[in-house]
Amino acid sequence: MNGPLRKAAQAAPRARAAALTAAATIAVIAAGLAAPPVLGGPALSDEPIQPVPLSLHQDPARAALGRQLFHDARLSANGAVSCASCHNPGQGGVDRRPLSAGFRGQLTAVNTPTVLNAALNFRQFWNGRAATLEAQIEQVVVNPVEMGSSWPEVVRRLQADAGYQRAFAAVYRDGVTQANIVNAIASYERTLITPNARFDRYLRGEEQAITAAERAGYLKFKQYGCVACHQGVNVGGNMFQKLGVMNDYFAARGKLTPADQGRFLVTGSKDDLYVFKVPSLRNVAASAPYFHDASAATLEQAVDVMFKYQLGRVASKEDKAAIVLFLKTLSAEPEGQP
Amino acid sequence: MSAFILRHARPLLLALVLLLGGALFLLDSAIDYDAGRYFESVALLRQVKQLDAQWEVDVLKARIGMNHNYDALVDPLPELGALSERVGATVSTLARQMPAADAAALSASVAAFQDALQRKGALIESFKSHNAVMHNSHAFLPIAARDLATGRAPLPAPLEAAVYRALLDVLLYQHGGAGEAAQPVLAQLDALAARRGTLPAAQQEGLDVFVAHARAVVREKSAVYGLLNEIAAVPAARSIDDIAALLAALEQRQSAGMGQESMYMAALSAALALLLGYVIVLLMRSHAVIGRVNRQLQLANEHLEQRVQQRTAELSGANLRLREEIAERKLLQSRLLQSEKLASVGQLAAGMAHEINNPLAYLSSNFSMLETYVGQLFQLLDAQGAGDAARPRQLGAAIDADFLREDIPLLLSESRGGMERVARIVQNLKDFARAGCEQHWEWADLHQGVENTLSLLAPRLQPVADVVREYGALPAVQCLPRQINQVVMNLVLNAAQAMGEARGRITVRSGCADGQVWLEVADDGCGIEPGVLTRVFDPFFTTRPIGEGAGLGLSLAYGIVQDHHGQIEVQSAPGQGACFRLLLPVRQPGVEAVAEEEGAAAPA
Repeated sequence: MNGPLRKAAQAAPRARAAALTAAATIAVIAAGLAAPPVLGGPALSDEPIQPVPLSLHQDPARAALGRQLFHDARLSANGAVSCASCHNPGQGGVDRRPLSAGFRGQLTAVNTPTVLNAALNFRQFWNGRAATLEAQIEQVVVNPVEMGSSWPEVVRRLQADAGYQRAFAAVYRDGVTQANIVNAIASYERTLITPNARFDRYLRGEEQAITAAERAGYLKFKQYGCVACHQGVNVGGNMFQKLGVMNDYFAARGKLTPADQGRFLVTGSKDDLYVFKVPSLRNVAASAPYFHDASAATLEQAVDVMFKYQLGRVASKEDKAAIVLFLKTLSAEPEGQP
Repeated sequence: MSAFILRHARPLLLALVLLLGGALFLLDSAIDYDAGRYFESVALLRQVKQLDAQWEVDVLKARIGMNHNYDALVDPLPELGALSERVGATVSTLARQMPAADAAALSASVAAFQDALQRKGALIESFKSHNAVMHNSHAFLPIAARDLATGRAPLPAPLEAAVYRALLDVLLYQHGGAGEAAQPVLAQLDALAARRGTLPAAQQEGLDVFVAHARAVVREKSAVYGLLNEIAAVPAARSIDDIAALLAALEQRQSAGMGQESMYMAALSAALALLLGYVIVLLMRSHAVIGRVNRQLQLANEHLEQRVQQRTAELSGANLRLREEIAERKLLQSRLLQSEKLASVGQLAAGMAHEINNPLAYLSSNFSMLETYVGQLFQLLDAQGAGDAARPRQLGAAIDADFLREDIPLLLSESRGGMERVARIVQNLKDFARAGCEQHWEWADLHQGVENTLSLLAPRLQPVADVVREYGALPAVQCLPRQINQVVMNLVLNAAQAMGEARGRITVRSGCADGQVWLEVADDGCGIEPGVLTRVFDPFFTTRPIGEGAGLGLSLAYGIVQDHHGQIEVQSAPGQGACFRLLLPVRQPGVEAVAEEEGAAAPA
């Protein structure tokens, strides 16, 4: 569902790019002596990273209802946790813990990925076992560690609430149902995208939106090959990759857990062992710690790990710092109400 | 004309029902097949195929590094998924209208298509991972070589040359086709790695990185090519074509079937049209008949009033005639009654004549005797008057004066008795023959009437039968006594006439029960044939020779009894006599007032 939207988001800048290119060329030729334009030149449409669309056009009423549900602890078996307990939209979409506590305090198997821009991911979960946000929501509610509830129970509880009954009746023909609850939450999550990061503004042609150092960091990001996986609108989130492709990450780390097997748990294919969804790097500065096992506490550590195990290259401190600088330009607040 | 329609209604209706049934059946099977679904499926398949082809193109673009990111490979996923689901749904709808074998084949090919799509998706995911690594290492490899060569400590010249050769070979290998052999390149890299020990520690790391990336290029290239081959081998497009071909074949068969169906439909329509035409002809014909009859009706209506008047006049005329006839008939009936009475009287006359003759005979002889006696007396008186003493003595010797003195009064009283007897007979006759119209209801003693009648008929009865009386106690009965007498006379006469050669017996019984009195006249005569028994009360029915009675006797009796609200029954068998039983109510319903006025005779 985000495919066509993403396409549209790409097409628009592209069209605009053509116009701007023409305009800029004329401007440069005609007024060579004029001051450089404040808003810089054409949008950078050929870059492997593309800006987040400004909106995914969700029904505001449903999104509002979804927001309420997202923060409602009645979705968990004992009313201890809500979606927002782990995916705090005001806090980078995560709880900033290595592993999150479920409804009974049990820890999850992997680090909580951010809910911000999750709508732009091609799959959900680290191992990509859910194809849609809706599927992800359905699984978390019944996950015995996370929310531990059951859908009939959730539906029953929400039906008992007159406020919910009214709210659902207002936006859904059939009132409080599992499908409608899931749809409302997913609608809300689709408003949790973060357009207008400084880097996106830069991509749209606002040259001064990022500093020269940050621009240099972006160059390094591309030169070192980070961009081979972290690309596209979401700077990741559109492919799988083996963790430890150039060096054996898990041998170095030790203490293998079942969750380390990654996508193998989903497909059972030997080729998918240690393969994970490439996470989005948007808002990465706000979503520490990093990796599925939360093994990196800081961005710098995370960059180091990536260089070592994924790129198999040695980089200077300066280069890594530049890359971290660049990564910080990918942060933005969600447009919708968090 | 309605009969005409009705006569045709049943077969027409049957034909209509049959034709309509056939039309509905054809229509139903036509509706069953939805050509729209087929075209929808074809359009969907075309869309899927196009998307799939574009997907493959994007894969190849990614392979040669023309795509800057993998969004292009991800974007078609939701659409492909949705389309694949729609194909499944549409085709399964189509399959429901097909024979099971076709549906199974179609379902199998759709499943194969969906499976192919899934496998292709998985392979492309894998391709993306390997392609990314390959591109990275491939891009980095010259840099790694340069870093190694221009590092702080220069490499020994042969090693540097080996590194560059390896770089060249790896790059050539990477750019070569799928058939390129990896083994020599890998062997070369192994050789390079083996010289690691000859290097100072600072350059060992650089060599490791170079070799690792060179190996990665070789490894990932073979993985990428393997995956590309696998992706190309996935029969996604072929399975789409399979589905399309299957659908096309089915569609062709369906449209052939539809051609046949439309032929049937046309035939059916023609039959319906014929039927319709026939019905129209029938209707027109009957319409004409209805019109004609309507006109006649209208005409008839116009004359109806006139005819009603005429008819009413005729009817009232007839009514009048009928009433006259009834009056006439009543008159006739009373005349008949009278004439029957007279006839009875005529019958009586014979006996009566004898009865009257008898006294007349001895009256006549008495009178001749008296004449003789008067002559003798006159002689005697003459002799005494002349004074001839001898003569009286002479005469006295011849005329017995004492005898005369004795015989004359005897003769006179005898004669008087005879005259009285004649007078009584005449009186009886007079009583009997009196006219019916003079009668009125009175309380009468039936026994007296019966006796009266019997004595009147005695001359007729005496020679043929003995009369036995078995009277019960009877109250006074309200009746027209002379008419009842007439009935009794008829019954007794009938009985007398039934007597054969031998002297018979006539029994008259009476009794009273339940406010009714009964009177029976039974004989032991010839009896009545069963076939005749039911007709004995019919007017003018008689078994006697012509002239001996009008055949009205019993009929009259029946009428009289009816007038008295009574009943008359007969029981008889041939040779066993007959028994007529008369039942009369004691009190007449309707004549109370008159009876009360009569007063004294009425019973309490």
